[in-house]
Amino acid sequence: MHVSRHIKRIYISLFAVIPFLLSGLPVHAFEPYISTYISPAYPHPFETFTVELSSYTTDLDQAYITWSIDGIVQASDYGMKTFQSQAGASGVAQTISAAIAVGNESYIKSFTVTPGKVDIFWEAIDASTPPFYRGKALPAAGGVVRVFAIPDITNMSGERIAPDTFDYTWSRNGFTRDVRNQSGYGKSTLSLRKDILTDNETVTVLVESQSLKITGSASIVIPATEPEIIFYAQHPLYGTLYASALEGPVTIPEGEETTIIAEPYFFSRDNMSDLSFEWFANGKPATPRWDYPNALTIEASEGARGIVPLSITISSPEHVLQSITESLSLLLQNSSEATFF
Amino acid sequence: MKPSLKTTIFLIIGILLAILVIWFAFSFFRNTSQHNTSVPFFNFFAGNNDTIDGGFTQNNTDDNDGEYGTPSDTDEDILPPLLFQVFSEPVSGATIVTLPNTTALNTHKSAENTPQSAVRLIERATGHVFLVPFNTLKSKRITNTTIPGIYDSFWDTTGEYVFTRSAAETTIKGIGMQIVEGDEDPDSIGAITALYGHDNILDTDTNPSRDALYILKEADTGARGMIVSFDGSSYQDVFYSPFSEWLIDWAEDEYVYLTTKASATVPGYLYYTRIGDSTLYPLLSEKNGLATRVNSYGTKVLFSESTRDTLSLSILSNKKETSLPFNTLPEKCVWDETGIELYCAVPFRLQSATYPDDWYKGIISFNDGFWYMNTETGEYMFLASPETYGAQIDAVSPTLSEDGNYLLFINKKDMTPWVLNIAEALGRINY
Repeated sequence: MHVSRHIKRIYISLFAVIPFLLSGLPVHAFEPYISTYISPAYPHPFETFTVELSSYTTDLDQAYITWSIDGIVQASDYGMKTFQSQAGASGVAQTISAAIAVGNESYIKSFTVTPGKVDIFWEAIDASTPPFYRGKALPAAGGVVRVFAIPDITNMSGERIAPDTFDYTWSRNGFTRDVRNQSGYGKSTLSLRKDILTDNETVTVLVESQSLKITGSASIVIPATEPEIIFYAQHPLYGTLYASALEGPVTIPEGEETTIIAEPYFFSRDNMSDLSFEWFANGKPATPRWDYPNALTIEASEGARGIVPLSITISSPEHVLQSITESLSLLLQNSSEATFF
Repeated sequence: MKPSLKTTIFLIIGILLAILVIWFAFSFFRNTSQHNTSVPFFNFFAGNNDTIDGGFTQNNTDDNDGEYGTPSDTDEDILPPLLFQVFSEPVSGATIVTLPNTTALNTHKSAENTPQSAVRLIERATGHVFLVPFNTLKSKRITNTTIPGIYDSFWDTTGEYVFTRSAAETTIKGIGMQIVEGDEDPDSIGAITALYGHDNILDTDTNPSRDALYILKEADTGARGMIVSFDGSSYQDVFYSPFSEWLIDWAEDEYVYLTTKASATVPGYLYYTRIGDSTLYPLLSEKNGLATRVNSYGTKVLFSESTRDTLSLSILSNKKETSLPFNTLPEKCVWDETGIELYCAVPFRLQSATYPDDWYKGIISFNDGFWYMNTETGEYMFLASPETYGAQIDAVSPTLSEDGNYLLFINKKDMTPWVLNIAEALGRINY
């Protein structure tokens, strides 16, 4: 029984080899394992990339290696394990071949490089900034971040492939498991909550078109940001003077009142009421304006003189690590007679 | 002992002289006090020496309601200096308009029958609209409808329609308005009429011909763009993006340019999109702290990027990047209508800071000089130093007059509008 099964296997093997014998090609009963490594793995259009061969079973240093692009020989030498080239335009495929001759045997490794560019960027969707702030909102620990991928990949005809026709595979800090449900066909955005234990987080997206055999990839680091408090003066007629942040000591002329705004930058919130504000003046709690908890109005009474330390703690009750205290000194003419309301 | 007649006469003369001296001193100190109260409040709080000196032509808005005043109490036209402050109070935006002769009240014989340039502006404290002709530099109040809290404004080319924006807690709301002038009676005051409104605005810009607005608004997830005619008679949804943190630049009538908001250590991207299409086509990518300004043909992009604790300015043209000989933020620059010449407010010194974040937050302020550059020939030229005119300027919102002769901008330090006579600075025209 056992003998007949072995004989059957030998016959099958022989029949499999016959076509190669008839074609005259060398047959290698055990083809050496040669791996190729491309860096970067998914070159952008016109980007220089490097191909490297490695093998644990064959001494490639003794091999005569000939490199070709689309059938045209580019370089050759003994032990030439690396080859550098430049990718073509977006969507234009290049076939890279390495002919490896070792002793009397030779092997060919071929692969195709089709460059595609993918942009990846993010926004901290719940990070606080003043309404007219032109800078980027940055995410604090626990903040919600939305990541976007925009592939700029064209087909062989030079036509741009619609972003919603690609398959997107997202990974977070090298792992796909946490964000697997957000990967898939046409899923070009990823939402995540910034980890409170990890400073910088890396998000990677792999963008593939199965039908066109084009793949692109991009990564981005989302930094950890500390929330900030910046003080501004609020003018009764001109509004908050965002052009000039206050630095102490801030002089308040005798008999005048001033409103100080403590602007929370990069706290997680939808509305100002999502944050808590605790003001202190001269070490004692001070009551902010009822309508703007980040605004404190100070009146310098007649004859007042002295420096008043002012501080505020802003916290996001839902995010334990988002709590900051900032101080500002006020120069009054008599601190004991200052009135806070 | 009874004083002699001679002594009495000397005593009377002495008393009269003393009264005269006291009267002069009182008048002097009263004037000084009035001058000081015109210094904007927030300079005092800035904690630095940003107060504006009076050593240049400065328009006074006091006592000018309803009629033109004259800077030297005469009706003669004046020749404005190279760089001049148009209005001494903070504004919520301004535009240069061309006046017909009848409105300009032109009395300068050599300038008769020639149109006059003027600035139309919104006073920040009141929302009143003023007109300041360059040939008098005296402001005339056009409307007295009080609208406090206007942060900035976008004007159509005629200055008749304006889109104002204000803060609404954590968002921005906008109102389109029409300015209706009074009748020909010099004492007549016009009014400003609200036409339409928009909430949850992310960014706004006008097209090059300034007859329409592009308003980017918050969507359920992301942003949507719409084109609105200045009079509010038509609007059209033209764009949707799941990403919302865009700054828009409607540089060409057919295309809108979108730049991701900038931070020093975050890679920024610039795209363009055809009006009516939401497809984003990349122009610049992965540049930290990227800020941009595109010319009106889409052929050149002025951009800055953050490098260590400073920033660098370059131009992208024909896919080639070229560094410029000076460094500033692109929003402090304006392209001329040829798309070749640039006018920039350039800080004399870029202190070590996190750019552009610290400038946006008001942590740092610039002291600018004004530069010209021809981006084809590489020729560049220093135009003016505000310090020569006794002022320190951190310029924002630069715009050119239609004839290209004047550069209008707002001084971020005190929100007052200024004009640079660039034609004169370049030696191109005479008055």
